[in-house]
Amino acid sequence: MEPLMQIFTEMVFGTPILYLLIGAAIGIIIGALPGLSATMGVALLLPLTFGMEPIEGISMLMGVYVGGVSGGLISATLLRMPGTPSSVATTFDAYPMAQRGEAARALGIGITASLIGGLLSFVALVTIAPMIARAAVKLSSFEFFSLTVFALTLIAVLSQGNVFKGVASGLLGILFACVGFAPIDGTQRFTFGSLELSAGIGLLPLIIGLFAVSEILRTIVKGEEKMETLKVNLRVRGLGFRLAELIQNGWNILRSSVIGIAIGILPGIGGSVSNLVAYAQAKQASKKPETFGKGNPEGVWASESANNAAIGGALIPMMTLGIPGDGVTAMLLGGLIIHGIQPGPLLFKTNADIVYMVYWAFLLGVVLVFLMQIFGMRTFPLILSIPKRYLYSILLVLAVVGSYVNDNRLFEVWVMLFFGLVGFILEEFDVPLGPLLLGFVLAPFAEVHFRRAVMYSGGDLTPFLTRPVSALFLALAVLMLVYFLVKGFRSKKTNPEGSANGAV
Amino acid sequence: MRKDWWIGIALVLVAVLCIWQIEMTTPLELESDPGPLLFPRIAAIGLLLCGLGVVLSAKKEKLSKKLFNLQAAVLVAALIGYVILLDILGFLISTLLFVAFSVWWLSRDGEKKLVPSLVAAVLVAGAVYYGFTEMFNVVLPRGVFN
Repeated sequence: MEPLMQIFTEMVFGTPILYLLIGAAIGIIIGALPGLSATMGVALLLPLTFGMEPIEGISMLMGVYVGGVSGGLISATLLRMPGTPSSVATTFDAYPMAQRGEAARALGIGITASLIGGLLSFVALVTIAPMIARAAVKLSSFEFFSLTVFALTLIAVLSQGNVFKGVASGLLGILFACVGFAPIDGTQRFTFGSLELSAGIGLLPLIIGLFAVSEILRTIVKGEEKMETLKVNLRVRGLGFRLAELIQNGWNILRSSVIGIAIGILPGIGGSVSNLVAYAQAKQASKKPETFGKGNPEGVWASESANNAAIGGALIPMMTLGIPGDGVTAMLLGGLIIHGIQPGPLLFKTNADIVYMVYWAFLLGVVLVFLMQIFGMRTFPLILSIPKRYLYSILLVLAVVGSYVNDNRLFEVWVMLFFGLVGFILEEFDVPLGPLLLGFVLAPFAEVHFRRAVMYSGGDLTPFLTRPVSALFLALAVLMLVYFLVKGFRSKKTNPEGSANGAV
Repeated sequence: MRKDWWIGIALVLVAVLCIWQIEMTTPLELESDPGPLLFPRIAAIGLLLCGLGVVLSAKKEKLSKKLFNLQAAVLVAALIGYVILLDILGFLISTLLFVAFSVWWLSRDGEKKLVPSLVAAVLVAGAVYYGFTEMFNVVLPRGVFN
């Protein structure tokens, strides 16, 4: 049997499909609850996957990822609160629709748009990824270093808010990654004489602290917002809307999905930006732009197809170059590395089975999440009424256990708490956390490539500038940095408060 | 003092600490290798500059006093206590105590009830313990009962 089909049967006729289901259910719930995002779901479930086979772990994590991004539409429609940053634009029209008694239609549209956006980005993933991988095999350490610098600069300058804060966040990530033994020569860095620190800072405690504990703290500090779920009738036949409507919105969905995929591919920004961009474009192209924000279904189609399309886009650079497109893919990358799998161009040759697992898990995840949401629509108000006191307590216990289990060291739990507080403080001061995670994940990779390249050239740095691909990426990075820094200083007076929240 | 000055100065201080640590370290010299200190040095200097940039581009917004929140602060203290207890009492007992307290503490005033908190604690501690030790074959802290 073809390996591609072999992985498929292994996934569908075995335990992986169960893990995918569990992951998707958890993802939908976490995505639906305001304050908890797909990023947090993946952070908390990542430690569970280490005891699993790769196919099971990948299935569960992809389920959480897809479910988490899609689930945000539930609270966006019923509460007017985006369950995740990916669904901000969904609230604009889905909630007014629900208010005038069309909740089921709004949800049906959101769920179907998620499916189509997901499917289109799956097509993009399987066609673009192998092409990039084939081209990337020819890249040497020089190009990889420059590419990493480019990716890091991009995420730092594109994260919302003050550009200095974005860059500082990325640099903090690099510095945290330097703790412990240096690669190649084993010099101890930033260990302060501590034996525990010489092993370095673990990825899991860092992720769980930054993206789970600090999120819980922030939601508690914000205080309980009055959550009044609309009393809605969710009894529907079929999908809640007419097929003609889907066809009418064909162009809108296609455009939004392409926007989602393209934004997903760029490092650092994913679903949280794509839904807003697609919404703005749909409004501009619409014949009735004045009805946007007052319950125009076109807005829901645009937002929900774009945020799901960003998933497939974000997976492309993660798998082909080892450079993640957003916070969640940075965690997936870390998870694969802990499993002993190094994503990058060689992955497609040496570990094609892993590539197929991601493909199938993504595709099945999109379809399963669609089915679960369509048939589970009536349980949505129930999900939103889960009492916070139980939820947070359970999540905190999972955070402690999750950071302990990988190494069986309580020290890791302390590190997790430390990053919980660091993440909380940074976000309070509008410093985005996405660049920190990317810096942390990419720094060892960039450093090894840099030093390997320089040793290879006998201490000569000029190849970074004379090799065309390397020079191009470095030039782009420098240009962007200068442009945004200058802009950052100029906009000091004019720019209103930028929100760094949920830039991941 | 402006809000951004606090974080800007904090970033500068972290950068200075890093630079001081880097200058204290003596690396192994390998031929034509840029060495293990170049990377952190560039990052630390960059951080220093960014911290200054944050200070200079600060908006005229004051630090809001809302930063301290009793509910969150006590929860963090409880988490710290929980991790200390893990080492002494082991996973089951300390998780029981933590969940009971945190469910009780996070309930709204007037809704703080002991029985639901205890029931939740027993269920959560039991389920997580069973799940991790039986299904995932993980050893959880046993404390003095080792």
